[in-house]
Amino acid sequence: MIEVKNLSKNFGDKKAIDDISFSIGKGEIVGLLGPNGAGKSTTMNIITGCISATMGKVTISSKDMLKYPEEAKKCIGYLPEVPPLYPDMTVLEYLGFVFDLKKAKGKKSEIIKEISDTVKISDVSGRLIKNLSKGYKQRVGLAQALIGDPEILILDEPNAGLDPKQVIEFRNIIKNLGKDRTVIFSSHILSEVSEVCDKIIIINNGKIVAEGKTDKLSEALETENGYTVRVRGDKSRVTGLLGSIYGAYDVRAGGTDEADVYDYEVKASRDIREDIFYTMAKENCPVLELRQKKFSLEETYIKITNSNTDREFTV
Amino acid sequence: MKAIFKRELKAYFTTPVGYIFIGIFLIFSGLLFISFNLLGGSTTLDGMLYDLRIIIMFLIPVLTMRLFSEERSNKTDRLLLTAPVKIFDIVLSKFLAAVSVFIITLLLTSMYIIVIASHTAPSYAQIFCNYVGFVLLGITYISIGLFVSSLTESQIVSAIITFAILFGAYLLGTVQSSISSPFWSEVIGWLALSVRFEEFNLGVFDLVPIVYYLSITALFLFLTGLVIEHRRLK
Repeated sequence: MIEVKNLSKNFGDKKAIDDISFSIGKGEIVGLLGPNGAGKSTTMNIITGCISATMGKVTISSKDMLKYPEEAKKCIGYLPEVPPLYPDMTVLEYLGFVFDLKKAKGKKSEIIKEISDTVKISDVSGRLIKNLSKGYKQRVGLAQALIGDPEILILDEPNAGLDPKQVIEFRNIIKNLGKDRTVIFSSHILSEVSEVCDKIIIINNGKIVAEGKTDKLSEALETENGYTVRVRGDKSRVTGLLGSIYGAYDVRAGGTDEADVYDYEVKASRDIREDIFYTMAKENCPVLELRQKKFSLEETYIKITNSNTDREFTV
Repeated sequence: MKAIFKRELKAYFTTPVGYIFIGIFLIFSGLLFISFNLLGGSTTLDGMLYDLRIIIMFLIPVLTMRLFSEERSNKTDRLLLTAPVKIFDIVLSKFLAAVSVFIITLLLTSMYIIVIASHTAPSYAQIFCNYVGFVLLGITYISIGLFVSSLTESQIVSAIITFAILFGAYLLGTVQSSISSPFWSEVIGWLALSVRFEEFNLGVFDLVPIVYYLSITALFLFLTGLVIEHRRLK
């Protein structure tokens, strides 16, 4: 459906995106995630044909964006970060204009009414766009993207600036739209993306740093095992014992309220839960608590976007 | 293309720009008509149109300043660039919308011909020749204004630069006669946009100035398309 190959874009000396490749299949809802300035909007602008890439290729429904821009653009509905609205037009006039501009097929009034009902803007159709609230403007922007019944919807931070109720409403609209369309949805807020998307692509500093199914991504990113162990016993002895376990490489001790009881943070390259148990039992140092650290998707996201790693995770 | 043209034309009348342009143009043309025709007794409109060439240097920047600048500042250019339309169609639609407002305004001045005709026989050939020249000058100015508006996000900057270019070209025409070097006089003659209108104004209908104005218009329309394409590539 969408095929992005070795895409790069330079703005002067700055590499906004650097050799990005991914493909998105039919009917998938994909989240493009990354901190502000990571290259999400640039990627979307290139996919939609709004700007061209310095290098690389974008194929939309097997049509090359560079060779057949008109055909490729017909397949896409795009809601940029700032909805492209003409403030001096009424909602109805604006949607009518977009209908003509996209050379959409079908009965204009019926299609516009149907879309207005879907995104819940029918009650403001006669109002000037400049008088609408932010939430309504965003929905008019989405309505604009839906005109022409595109197979692909590209939404750049559609929830930015909306109140929590509107965010939930918008999320539901997008989920419904995604039932029969391919949707790319960008955000710098992880929870928004993980709620809606089947797949997540994380971009940082213009590169893809992680990519995969939403539920599997955090598992795959656990490249290290972390444990918190609470043990009764001499601090330096226990630290030494934990450190001697095969695979453990970082042991840090912290205090607790109880006398002679300490919490240890252990990192290991393999699963060492059983080794901890047996080693401590043998040495008569009772394990009072043992917790394996699970990285939440949020932690994973922060971790990989903070590290300037080139390592790529794929699920 | 039709969609953009319609929207642009309508936008002139949903904002005050169209009314300001037509209103001020008609006020000045009316004053000039009174002065040259009603009081001066002329049966042509050459005096009125000759002075109106100065007025449109101020008014055309107002007409063209928003064409691309507003799209960029409102971020609506994204809608046009991601729609299945060619860049040149966007440029042409906007140009034709501005030209339409200009021609509608000129058509309104045709009432002056009726006024003249009610008193005496107007010199139709000379009036027609003057109008052709004036339209050519106007569309050339519009193409320059359109080009400048594609360069900047600010409408005010767009209007000021357009005015500066048009006024600069006009001033070149006034100094042309005082330049002794035939080469430079010739060069300046080509750059002074309003000089060739004077031929039409005198009632001389020649193909050269027509080609001259149409070529400059085509050049600036092409340059506008190039600027937009270049920004997409940048």
